[in-house]
Amino acid sequence: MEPITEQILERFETLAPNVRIYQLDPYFAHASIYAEHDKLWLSCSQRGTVRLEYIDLAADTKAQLILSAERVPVELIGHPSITGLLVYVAERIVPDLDDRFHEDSDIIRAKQSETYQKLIAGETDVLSVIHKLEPHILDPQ
Amino acid sequence: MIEQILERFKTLAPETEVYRWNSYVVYASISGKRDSLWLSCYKRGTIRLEYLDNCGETEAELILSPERTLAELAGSHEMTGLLIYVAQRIVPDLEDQFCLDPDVIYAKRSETYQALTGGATDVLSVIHEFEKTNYNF
Repeated sequence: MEPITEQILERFETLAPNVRIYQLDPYFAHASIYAEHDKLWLSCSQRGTVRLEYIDLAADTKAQLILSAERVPVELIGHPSITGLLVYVAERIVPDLDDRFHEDSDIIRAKQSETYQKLIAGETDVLSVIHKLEPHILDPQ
Repeated sequence: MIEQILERFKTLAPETEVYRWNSYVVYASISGKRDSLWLSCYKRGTIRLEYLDNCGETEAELILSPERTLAELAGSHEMTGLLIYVAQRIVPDLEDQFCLDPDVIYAKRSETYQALTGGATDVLSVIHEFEKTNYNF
């Protein structure tokens, strides 16, 4: 496993008490935080791509953030209440985020969400956010 | 552009399914008996191809940036050969940077890629062949 991947996984482990880590093969490392039904899924690929997905009960991806190896957001999709969670997590686990990450309009919008603001203020945590989001069907805006 | 990619993807196998998740992501898949080849087209222009096993786990992955350069190529030699073959057939205007990427060049040397380009096999047959060697129950 690449040292950078190990570092990301170690940081991910600190976000919740029930983090599971999977090293499927030399190409992928995955980690997850499960609530009752939904889960937050982290994938680190061999070139350094990092992907965060929020997956619901029906196994549908409700929100997704893909970071390139240069730590630039390639994609950010989903409702702001979930993308706020993904951006919060990315900021905590991925070292050396590029300036383009912070200047990206979708990232800025996600940071304006109540979810992100409450996480930053310490009024909630990652697992609680997933529990709170679980019963809701949120369509992206 | 997405429509064009989907139309091309549909020509690769007789039973291609297209799912429009919302205005930001469109998915399409070619399924074997257990495994599937999964295409995702994202709002910013990113294209993702995944080879999923019977558990829905990603066994191989290719991510193309909106600029049509390679952002990610992971997986076994033979599976990446399949992904590169498909990407070349569905994504217009691949950058020279893509074609010159060492991982892409290596994937093209695979038996799978060579058989596909030589017309000795097709995408669905390749998935069926991979299934025979995947026993992730």
